[in-house]
Amino acid sequence: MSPAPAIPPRATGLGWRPETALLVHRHEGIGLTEVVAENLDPRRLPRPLLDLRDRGVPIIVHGVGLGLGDAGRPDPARLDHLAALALALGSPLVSEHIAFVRGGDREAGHLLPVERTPETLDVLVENIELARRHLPVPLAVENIAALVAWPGDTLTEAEFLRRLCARSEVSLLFDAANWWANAFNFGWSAIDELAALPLDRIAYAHVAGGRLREGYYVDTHAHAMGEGPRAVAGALLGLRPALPVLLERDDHFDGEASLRRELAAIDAMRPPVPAREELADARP
Amino acid sequence: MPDRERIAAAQAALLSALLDEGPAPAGFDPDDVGFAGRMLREKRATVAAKQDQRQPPPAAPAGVWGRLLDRLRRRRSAPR
Repeated sequence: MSPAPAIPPRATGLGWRPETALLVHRHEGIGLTEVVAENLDPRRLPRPLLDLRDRGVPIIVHGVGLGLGDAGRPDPARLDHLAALALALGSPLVSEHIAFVRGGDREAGHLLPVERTPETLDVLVENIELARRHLPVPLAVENIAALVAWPGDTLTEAEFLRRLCARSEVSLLFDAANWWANAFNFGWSAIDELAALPLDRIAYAHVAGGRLREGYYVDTHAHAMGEGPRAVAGALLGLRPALPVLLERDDHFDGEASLRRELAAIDAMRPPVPAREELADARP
Repeated sequence: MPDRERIAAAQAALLSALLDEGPAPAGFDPDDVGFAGRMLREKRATVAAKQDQRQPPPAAPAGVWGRLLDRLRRRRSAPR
């Protein structure tokens, strides 16, 4: 088996879904893709995914059901599943969410926010370290979009992520749309708070579309990117121009043309690569 | 040592409220909990509908992923 391909700098990608598989396969500009782990069986991977792997396209395994923010410890069987997929797909990374997904004996069926306190951070760090020890490739963890805030939150999102990175070698998957959603829903500045993040720990970023509903911003993954997520992604790329960025779309696949436009919009957000002469001029 | 039991109880109470099976826990904004709950229940319904149309998610007897993992790790470490 070949070593995992690194994610190239300035790579732009699209989440692999059955509905986007053809576009991911034939879009010449795809620099990475991502699969939802819970939808795949490592013993029976779709042929198009194996073709992408064999072409050297980095395929990130993205989990949604591990529950790193659960009060309980991560399920070893779920970790085995993520590990088997990462090995079978030659993945450079596994990513998961900073979220709880089950409470008591119930599955939420969605990602729910953890309370941002030092105590919850202790649990999260322990769970992440357990997961990292179990996985054959590095782990990146993603900020989620929330519609409800814990009354006991004592840390901002940026501070929570900064403290997490200070205590663990885990990388971040920064979701610009989720960041925007929380800033909008809970009244803080999405752009100003970027400066408080450990930007050097971000392995790659997500962008996606959403919509306003009853005064809340809902991260749907079913609409074109709006101005808010674009502004966050643009500001982030201003700070980290070469950061790989992946577009997520889970519904309303309204044709290749619209997804191609979204991908081109991501590329257009990046500052231009400085010419060699400019770099030479910039040297002290 | 973090108090996992306290966190578990708090998370279970919030989830119960979001699933419309209990009141919003003390201190939460009831409007936020109401809206988040409706979104969560819509999402669960949508996912359930999609699951009906697709092949079931992989379900493996205990130990299968571990055996597959061992095989993949051996393949990766085998001399080429």
